[in-house]
Amino acid sequence: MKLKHFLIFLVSGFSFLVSGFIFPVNAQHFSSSSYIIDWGNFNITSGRKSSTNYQLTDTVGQNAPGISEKNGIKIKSGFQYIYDTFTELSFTIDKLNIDFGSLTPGLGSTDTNLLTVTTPSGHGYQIMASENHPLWINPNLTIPNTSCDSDDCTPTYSSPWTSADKYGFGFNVTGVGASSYFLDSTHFRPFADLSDNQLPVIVASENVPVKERLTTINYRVLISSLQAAGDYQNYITYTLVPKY
Amino acid sequence: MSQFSLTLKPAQIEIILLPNSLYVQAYEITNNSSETLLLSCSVSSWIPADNLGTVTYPNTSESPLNFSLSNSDLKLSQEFLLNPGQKKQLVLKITNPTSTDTDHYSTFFITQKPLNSVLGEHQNLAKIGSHILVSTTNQSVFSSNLQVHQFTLKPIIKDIFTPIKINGEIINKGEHYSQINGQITVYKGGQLYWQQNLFPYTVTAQNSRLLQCLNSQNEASTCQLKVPLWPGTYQGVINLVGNSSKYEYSFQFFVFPYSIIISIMFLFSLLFFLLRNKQSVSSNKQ
Repeated sequence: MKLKHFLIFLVSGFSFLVSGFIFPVNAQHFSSSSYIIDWGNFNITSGRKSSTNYQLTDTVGQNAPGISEKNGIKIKSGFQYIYDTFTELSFTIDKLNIDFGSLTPGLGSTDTNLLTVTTPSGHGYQIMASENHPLWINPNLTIPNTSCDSDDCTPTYSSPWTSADKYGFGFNVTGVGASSYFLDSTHFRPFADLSDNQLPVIVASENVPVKERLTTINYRVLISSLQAAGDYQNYITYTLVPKY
Repeated sequence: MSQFSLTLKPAQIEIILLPNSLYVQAYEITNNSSETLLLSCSVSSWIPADNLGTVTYPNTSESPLNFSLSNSDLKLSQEFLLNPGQKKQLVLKITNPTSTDTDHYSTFFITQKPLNSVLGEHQNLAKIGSHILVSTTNQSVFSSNLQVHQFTLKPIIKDIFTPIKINGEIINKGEHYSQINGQITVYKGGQLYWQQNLFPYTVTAQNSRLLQCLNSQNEASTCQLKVPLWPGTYQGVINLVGNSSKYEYSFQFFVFPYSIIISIMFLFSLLFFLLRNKQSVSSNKQ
């Protein structure tokens, strides 16, 4: 019985070795009438493993794993390198229409936007904001951008805006990334006005990677009784880029 | 459900382009929102703004590189629709017509356009961008020129119970961007005491990045020696790999048990005054 098993093993091994010489060896081979696809290697397993003390990423079956570089061409071979870009950059805005409804003179109207950001590993983010023009019916009928209580806030500098007789349109940002730009929820600033050749301004940023980081934009508009009736609008653009 | 939600990957690419060479990069965008989005693509140049990786987009910026989309149905700036849940691959082609030895930093932007452009409609818009760092060069291989800059150790008075923070910048004095590759090692009495890899930030040419360490979660964190520290003299060295010549920045600091000494002195003084007062009270009684 043992001899029979030994002979089967011997014949199988010999057939395997011979087949290697007769047939071309491809890790994986697909063919149709139009295409032939040969894969250079056959990955058996890969992934992320972890225990209390260790984290492991592996690739099994990869030919020549590792990083190779020549003449400016870089080859990153093995599944480990997909983790470099495993987390993509993601940007969410909860609603696109901000409707203040009918405005009452001397009474500030507010609305909010929720921005959600996810960044890749190793990268922080910056959110920039701008408006295409001030809130207007036409260029001659505008709700001016706020200059805040002390007439000192600008697109790059926020200051308190709580007075009922300081008319205008402005915004405040709250969230972890906004604390460097807005001291608290009473600090406002106007949007950078692209029609006035101003550049988009950073309103929130962080230097570390974030996952589903929430930032709240608080809009405020306050008009005088002399403000002409009509539909005032503009476009606000939020730009998200990673920190390089 | 949100009205705008877009993911873009990869978030950054770093490439080297020889003169008249071509690079093709595939980007994947996904509309995760409940709305159909009207989008377009563009490329804008940026300049580094600080040592934290912040960028600024100048009003006028022209890149000598040529950017175009390889998608058969799409060109740069051309609008296209992306339905809820839909993914799209955008293939960006970058060609280098120049033979200059320099760097170009750009962002590949996906810009949302107003879907209903009827006047009187108010809408917020969003833009999301992925950075492109390109070194154009005639050389097949070039070395870094990274150096330690504005190095400080805090606090100034180093006590055994005060964590020591290693601060500074890595400045890139070369003509091309470079990734930080190095480590900080601290020795005490010639023996290895603490060692940590530096976070591999990319440092743009003639610019600097904050010195940070790579923590166990593979993220950037402040380089800091944990307490308690043994009293004595410590030697440290920051090694940067990849420069044309070996680069090391050495430093030294002294840790003294100030808090313990002060506490003991305070206790002794207190005891001394208490004993003296007791003596004077008893001598007054006599």
